[in-house]
Amino acid sequence: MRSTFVRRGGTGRRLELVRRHRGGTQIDSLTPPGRASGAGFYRYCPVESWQPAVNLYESKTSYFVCVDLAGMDRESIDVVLNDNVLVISGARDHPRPPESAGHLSIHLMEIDQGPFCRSVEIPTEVDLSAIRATYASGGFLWIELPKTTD
Amino acid sequence: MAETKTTPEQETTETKVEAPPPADRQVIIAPGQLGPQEIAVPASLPLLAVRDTVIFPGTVMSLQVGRERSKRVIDEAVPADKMVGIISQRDPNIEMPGPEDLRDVGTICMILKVFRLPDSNQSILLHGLARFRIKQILTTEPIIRATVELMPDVAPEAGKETEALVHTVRQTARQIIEKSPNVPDEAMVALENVDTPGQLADFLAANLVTEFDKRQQLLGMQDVMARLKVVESQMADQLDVLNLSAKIQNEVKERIEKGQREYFLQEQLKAIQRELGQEEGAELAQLRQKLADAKLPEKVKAEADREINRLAAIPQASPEYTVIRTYLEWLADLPWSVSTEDKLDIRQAEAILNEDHYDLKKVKQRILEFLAVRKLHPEGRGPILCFIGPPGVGKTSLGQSIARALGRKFVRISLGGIRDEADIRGHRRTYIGALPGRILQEIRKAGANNPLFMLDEIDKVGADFRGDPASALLEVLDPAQNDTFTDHYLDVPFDLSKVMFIATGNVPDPIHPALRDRMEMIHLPGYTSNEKMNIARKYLVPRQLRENGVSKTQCKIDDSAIQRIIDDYTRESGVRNLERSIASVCRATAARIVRGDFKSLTVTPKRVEEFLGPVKIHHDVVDRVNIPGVAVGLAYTPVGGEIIFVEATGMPGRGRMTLTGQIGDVMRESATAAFSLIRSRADALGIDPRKLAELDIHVHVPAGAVPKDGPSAGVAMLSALASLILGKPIKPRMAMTGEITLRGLILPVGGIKEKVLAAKQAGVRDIILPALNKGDLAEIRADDQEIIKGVTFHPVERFEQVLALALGVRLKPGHKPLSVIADAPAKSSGSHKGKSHRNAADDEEAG
Repeated sequence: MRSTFVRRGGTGRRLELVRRHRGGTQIDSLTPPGRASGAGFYRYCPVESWQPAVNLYESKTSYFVCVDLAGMDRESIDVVLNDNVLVISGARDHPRPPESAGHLSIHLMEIDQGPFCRSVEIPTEVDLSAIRATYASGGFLWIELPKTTD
Repeated sequence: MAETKTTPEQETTETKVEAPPPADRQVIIAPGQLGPQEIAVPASLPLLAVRDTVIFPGTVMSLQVGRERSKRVIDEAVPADKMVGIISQRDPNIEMPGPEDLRDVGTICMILKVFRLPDSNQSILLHGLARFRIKQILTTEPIIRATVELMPDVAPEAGKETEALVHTVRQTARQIIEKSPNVPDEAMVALENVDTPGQLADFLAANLVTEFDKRQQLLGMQDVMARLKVVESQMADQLDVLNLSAKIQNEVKERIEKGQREYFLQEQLKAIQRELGQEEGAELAQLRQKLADAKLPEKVKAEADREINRLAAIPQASPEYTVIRTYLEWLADLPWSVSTEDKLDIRQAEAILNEDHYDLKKVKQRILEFLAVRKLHPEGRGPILCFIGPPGVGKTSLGQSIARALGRKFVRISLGGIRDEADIRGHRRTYIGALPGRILQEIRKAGANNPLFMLDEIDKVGADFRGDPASALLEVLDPAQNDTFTDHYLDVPFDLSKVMFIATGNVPDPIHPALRDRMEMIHLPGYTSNEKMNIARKYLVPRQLRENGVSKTQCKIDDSAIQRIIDDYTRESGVRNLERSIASVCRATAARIVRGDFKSLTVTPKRVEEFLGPVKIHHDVVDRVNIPGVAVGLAYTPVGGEIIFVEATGMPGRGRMTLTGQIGDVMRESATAAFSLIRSRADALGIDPRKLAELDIHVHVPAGAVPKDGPSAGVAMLSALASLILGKPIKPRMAMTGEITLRGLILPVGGIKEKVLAAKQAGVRDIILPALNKGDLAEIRADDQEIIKGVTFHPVERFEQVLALALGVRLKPGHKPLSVIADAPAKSSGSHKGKSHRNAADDEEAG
């Protein structure tokens, strides 16, 4: 697979914020707005309202990042390495039944959709030129980040 | 979150996700993680009416969807671009709001997710994107759709004011987050990361402004500065509330902590006590044991059991606890069934009594009688004796030696000056610091229920508004009822009947009559000089030598020296001054010996004068009575017998009589009686009654400052008046005592022995005394020949005898009281004036 969309750069703003937000699931927001008791809390949310799940592996020579990103066009995934932080962003539309289905009623829509942004900190220096990303049909984005050899 | 002023130049090319929107679309710019992002918004939106809910741009919120129309809105929006306009109803109660029921301003939201709730309702998760205003309603059925106008933030001018406001808002928000319970850490992170003022205001409004109207108002405000100000004031209010509630909570917490601390310490204390074997239970058990050991009477035991059960039920910290414990300790400490065994060996008792006290035969005899009775009848009650006598005759020490002779414990209380009934019978337990009365306190001290109990100074018991202690003593001293003596404090009866009470006093008169009636009076008259001599030799000298560290070989006091001290340096009934004087002599001797003047010293009368100074008492006072109108009487005082002078003087006047010298009513009356007697017999005495009528008489009894009373000066009054009127001095060295009646009879008086002693000490040679007191005289004679040596006694029955003895005057025979006309036949030759009411004895004339 090609790795053309892996670039360096980006502003790197709010990474901190995003990382911290990872802990809280959106289901939390389902709690009724019982504000008087101070129990609930309205998250502040940027445009990217969700984050795909990520696995990070380390071998002797490389790091392997696997992102759960089913149903995407390869072109609409952005991968940026900003210092040691790998940022995966993009937007995913919700999956639709075929056009022929006609009018639809929405009962459930639990699959994350819309713009997303996910950052992963890579523990050590990696060889930027050797990074490869592949997006297979299985729906996982694989990114291999070889460690710098010296 | 929308920032209209953001220019396309600010955007980085790589963040651009979408192509430029079509012409019918508007663009909002929202903050993204990698920078602001443009989001295209369709010109028309389906509107979702909500009740009292405001979603602020930039926040995520869930919403329950129940209404069918709302579900349709979702069905419509999701397949398209998932955007809806959330807008509040004006009236939350309307089920199907029309366009006119909606407010003007709402929020464009992205539907993120759709969930199903257990109750078949739906819940949608919305992400607020931007404010909008309804421009034009396109359709109302089946859903409301409208074209919308975006309401971009009016950003504040960059400047100090904005910065300051943002800073203040952030500061306040930080405080609120810190103080609010249950706010996740996330909030603080979010607060630090939201940096444009408009987003900050929306974030805080979403989280900290709770009132719906305020939220709606904030949603309608495009001006960021104004929004911040409203949020700031809202937060300030909230902070106040939080501060207050934090304060209240703190106080509550502190109180709880204090309570917990005390509880903890209490528990620790208990644990420590348990370790030391002083557990509460142990204490109670100890008390129970003590009470069981005390062998309480049935009635008392019931009371004690009740109290100890109460004690077990109340906490140790309760003030009542101490009260009950003290009470129970009192119960346990009292000698309910502890008695000492009486020594019933009469011979030994007699030996002890004789060893301690010289003479006092009457008292000793009474004690020995008691012993004898006790031996024959062991269950008998204790006698209640009362020793009456002048100070220093050894009443108290006699009590001690009786206790020693009987083998009983000795306790004494002095009743002198006691004026509160509670001193005798205690205070009720309800009073703070209440204690039993002195009686039971002393009994506890004695540790036995049959001690010899001495009630000193019973004649000096006072009484005032707090009650009459004498009346309380009635119960104590009545053998018939003191077996159930009830102290106010104990409230249970204590048996005092085994106690041997001995009261002491100087004179019997001030003692409450009922009290006097209950006691067996034993008079301890003063000592004669012979007795004093013996006491001094046997007891006082050895004791003083010992106390002053002088040995018998170093100092010998001659009998003549002692006699000198008795006669010339002391005049008293007891032996206190005598002992003091002997002590002075011993001290002076000690000084001489230590100084090295002598190795040993024999004290002679001459040395006594050297040591004690000039002679203090002069005996020749009686010699100086050598003018008409002065008589020597004999008085009986609390400190023994005394001689008194009765002076009378006359002056022209109208037959009145004045009496001075602090004399009491009885003495005043006897003076009047004496004067009347003389007037009635004026003829017989050879006095012209008319002259008497022109004479004012003044009778004075020195010393004028000392109150005097009693009838026994009657004879002296009579003699003084007769002596004055007849102009004849009374025979020198003659003293007299006796009561007179108007008929001229001489009635007996008390305290003969004391009076005789005093008279003898004053150098009197002749004493006139009532014939009816002959018995006393015989007693004295039997007791001590010494007393009457050198004194002639003249027992008299009638006043004529007195006048004959004192003045050498004989009444003219035949003269009767003026009012008497008739006369009974008598041996007197002059009974010629008819019938007399007098009997034959009255007629007898002094010869």
